[in-house]
Amino acid sequence: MSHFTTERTLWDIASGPAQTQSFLADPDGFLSRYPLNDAEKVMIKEKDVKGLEAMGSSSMLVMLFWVAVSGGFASLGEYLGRMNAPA
Amino acid sequence: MAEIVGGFLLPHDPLVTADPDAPSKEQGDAVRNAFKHVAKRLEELAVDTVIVVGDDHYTVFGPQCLPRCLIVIGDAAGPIEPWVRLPQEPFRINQPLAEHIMQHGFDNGIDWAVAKSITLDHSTSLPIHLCFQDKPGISAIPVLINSGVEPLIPNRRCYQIGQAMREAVLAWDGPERVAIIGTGGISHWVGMKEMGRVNVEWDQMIMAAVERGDAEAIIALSDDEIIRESGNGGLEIKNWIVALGFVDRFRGEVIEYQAVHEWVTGCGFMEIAA
Repeated sequence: MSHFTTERTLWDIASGPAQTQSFLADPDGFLSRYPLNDAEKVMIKEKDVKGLEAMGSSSMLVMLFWVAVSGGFASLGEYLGRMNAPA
Repeated sequence: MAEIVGGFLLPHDPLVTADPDAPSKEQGDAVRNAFKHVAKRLEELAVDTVIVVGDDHYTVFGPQCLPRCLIVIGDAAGPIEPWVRLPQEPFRINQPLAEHIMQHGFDNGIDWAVAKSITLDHSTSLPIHLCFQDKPGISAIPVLINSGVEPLIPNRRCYQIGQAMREAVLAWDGPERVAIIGTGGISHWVGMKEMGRVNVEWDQMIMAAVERGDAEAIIALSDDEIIRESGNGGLEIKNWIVALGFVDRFRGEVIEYQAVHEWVTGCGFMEIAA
């Protein structure tokens, strides 16, 4: 069930500028509000989009999370680079 | 009695307005002109109400609530996303007919989720803006189905929802002339590693099925096959299926098709009529 919590966390971070800034300002504090395990917290903090998708998170949501925390749609090139990186 | 005058299938690609200069002028103009063509056809058909079928993109709704099918019966505005670069405006909603469709559905096996007041994402907002927001005589009834986020609504259920709305409109005593717009697709990979790919062959297969009035060929496609061949965004043909069920015994005519890699989408426009 944990990847549902991961999706909730990603959705909350991407749901508006205030939430995004709250996460960026204090990632550990923000993530402590959610029942995530350590590996999930690391994936979110490191913006491991490939790993987040692989664990079952919606690709669309993972992209929206990336756009929110990485400077907008102009950063999609790097997003795709990460998604297509060798395992 | 209200009359069903036809329908349209078209993309709701937010990059059309968010990044208008990304593709060649020729391709961009072809897509923009197709939206203008639909707007003109709505006027020619003397449509006064358009049911606009879209899907939320994990934007308005989140993991805490994912409506399977939702009808707007009250106030609506959109788009909610500033980056789409359309003004967030209130929409004219045909509230009496929307409430009737809601109640008719409740009485006939469609357990609608209901929005009494909502700000919509680009899937319904962009087509409303580009097709009839500037036409005071045309109102909307936005409908959302869950074709974007798991658990996905089955294709067959989408067709049934379209049929149920058809029956509701035909049972309505008002003088409305109603059209439907099924929005989305065709092939696009949203956030997936293939994002930017367009499967022209698949898109043409879908449009050919619509042309010959073969809804069953589309309904029979599995979700896995749709995702494999046309990406997660390709699942938005479920929105089209609702429109096909609404028009019933339809034939389709291609208005435009452009594989716009810069807009990451195969942009297909069709008119459907009985």
